[in-house]
Amino acid sequence: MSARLRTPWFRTDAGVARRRDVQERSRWRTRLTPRSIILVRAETGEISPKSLASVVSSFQAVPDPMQRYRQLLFMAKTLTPVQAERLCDMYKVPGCVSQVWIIPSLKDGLVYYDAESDALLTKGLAALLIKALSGNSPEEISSVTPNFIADLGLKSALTPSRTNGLLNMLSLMQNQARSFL
Amino acid sequence: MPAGTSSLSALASHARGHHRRGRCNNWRGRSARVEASASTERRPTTLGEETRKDFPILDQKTESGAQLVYLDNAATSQKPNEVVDAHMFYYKDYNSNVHRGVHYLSSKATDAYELSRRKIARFVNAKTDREIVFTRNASEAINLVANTWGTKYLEAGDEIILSVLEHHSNIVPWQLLAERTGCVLKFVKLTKDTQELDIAELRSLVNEKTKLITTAHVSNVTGGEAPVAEIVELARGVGAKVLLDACQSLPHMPVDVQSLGADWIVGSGHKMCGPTGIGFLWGRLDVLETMPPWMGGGEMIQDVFLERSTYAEPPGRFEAGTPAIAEAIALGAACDYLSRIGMDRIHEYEVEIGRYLYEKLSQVPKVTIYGPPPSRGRASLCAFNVEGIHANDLCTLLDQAGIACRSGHHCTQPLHRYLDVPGSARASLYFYNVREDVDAFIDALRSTIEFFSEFE
Repeated sequence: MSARLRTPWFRTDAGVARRRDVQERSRWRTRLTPRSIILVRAETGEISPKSLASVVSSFQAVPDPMQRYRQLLFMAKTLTPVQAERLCDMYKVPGCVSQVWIIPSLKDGLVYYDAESDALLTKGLAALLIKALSGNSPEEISSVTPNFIADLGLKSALTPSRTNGLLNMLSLMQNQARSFL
Repeated sequence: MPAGTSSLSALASHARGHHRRGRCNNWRGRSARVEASASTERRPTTLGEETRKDFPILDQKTESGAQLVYLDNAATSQKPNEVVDAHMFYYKDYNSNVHRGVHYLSSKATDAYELSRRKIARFVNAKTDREIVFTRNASEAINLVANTWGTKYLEAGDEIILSVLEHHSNIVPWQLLAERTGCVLKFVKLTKDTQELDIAELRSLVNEKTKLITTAHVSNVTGGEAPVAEIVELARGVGAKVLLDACQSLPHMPVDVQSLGADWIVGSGHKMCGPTGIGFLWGRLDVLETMPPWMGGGEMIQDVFLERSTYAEPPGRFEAGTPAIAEAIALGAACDYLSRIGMDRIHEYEVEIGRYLYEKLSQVPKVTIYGPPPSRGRASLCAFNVEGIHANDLCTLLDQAGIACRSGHHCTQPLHRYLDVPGSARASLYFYNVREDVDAFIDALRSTIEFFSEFE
């Protein structure tokens, strides 16, 4: 698994085959650029780690934006409450419209996160990322690319500032994971 | 299905079926209904209904499929067709630099630019159009006063009195000035009961060291109006100057600089039906004449020699470089548009619809509205919080129902700290809003609160 992670998928034979499939399906005639490779990857749905893939597919299954909000709010409720004294600035996500803190910990070589926010939707987004990333190795977490955000189907439900907030949360979590390497 | 499904479906159907149910503010939809019922009941059309056609931008659906209800007018107003046209015609018909050439287009552009200055002067009843300085926005106008008058006349120990409700634009330039000159900033708090500027505290702060009193004419959060006559009287008593941030008053009520008695007011074009990138400073001519230039460049000079320059008289002295010509001309068109309706009429209508908003909103459980009650006089906006729901969450879901509201600190962090809340949501009206907009907002707000109550 981890060996495959280190090799970009599009260099494997299976990946090339998939790429060709997609190319034919979408009748793309232009040469593949790095950007289109990303698109292909999103279309083929190969997202790792598995926990992330399952979060993405569970969100994709919800057709209605209001239901996706509902799902986020439910996820927010699943988070373990964080004690106020742990909410210090080093855990605070910068550039988010609401206040949000993400606190990492390492257990048996795997990274786990806790999060808190004053806004429930933001807390739901943090919970989503925690569900997607918690319990994976620092290597796996740091190799996640943010492309999956587009696959969540949350775009119409999130203002750009919240999407940026989600990106900022992800990059903080990845930096935290890297610090365990 | 869980019990909360009803609220979800209510909100979703609100978003989707808002228009179909005929509850919407879609102008064509309404006209048809009004005509249909005309035989039985004919009520006089409101200003909102009359002017709606001038703002086609309002007739659209948002990404979620809901009819747009624009209630973020305190952040920026929409622009009527004729303002958009004035902007466009400048570029299409007579784009040319002003005050420069002798050719036809240049003189046409210069005429239009200077005519716009006269329109603004008339709009605020200035004694002469030389009292109007075009700036990029109100913030620049305040910075201009701080960097010219402030730098020249203020010394260490001098005092500037502001209030805790100021917009950041009317705090930060004075903080920068205080760092440069050593002058001291003093902040007036609000009255406990009505959250209005505490004039008694202001009176106690004024002394012979006071050189400037500055405040928002109308607050963008509390909606309260400053007691300008008393402020001016207190300032005159010690020879201090008065600057009013009129961004939230100019679009909504008659502003007469001669009767106000302030030394400067600043205005923002885009909040009064004009374009962004243009604002203005009005200053009493005798005061403007004592102010040194701030930014150097073309236009603001009289003669330039290699070792020194002499400067133009106001307002040219303060307008370095090629100005925002199209924007200035379009702001003039906005003044024409507003004047044609009549600022008295706009104010009268907004008092009525603002009271309607306040009353409807205060009936919603768990809502706290900031600022004075309508009986004390307040702008047609409500900044508020719903107990247990973050303002950002609230406005995100209101957006799903097509309601454009602002959430956050509205560039007034000190005020929110003073009120002891992290932020607030704000619904702000303008003359083209109608009661149905308020109704749609209240409906969506109730559904949103119900939606969140599932997760308590």
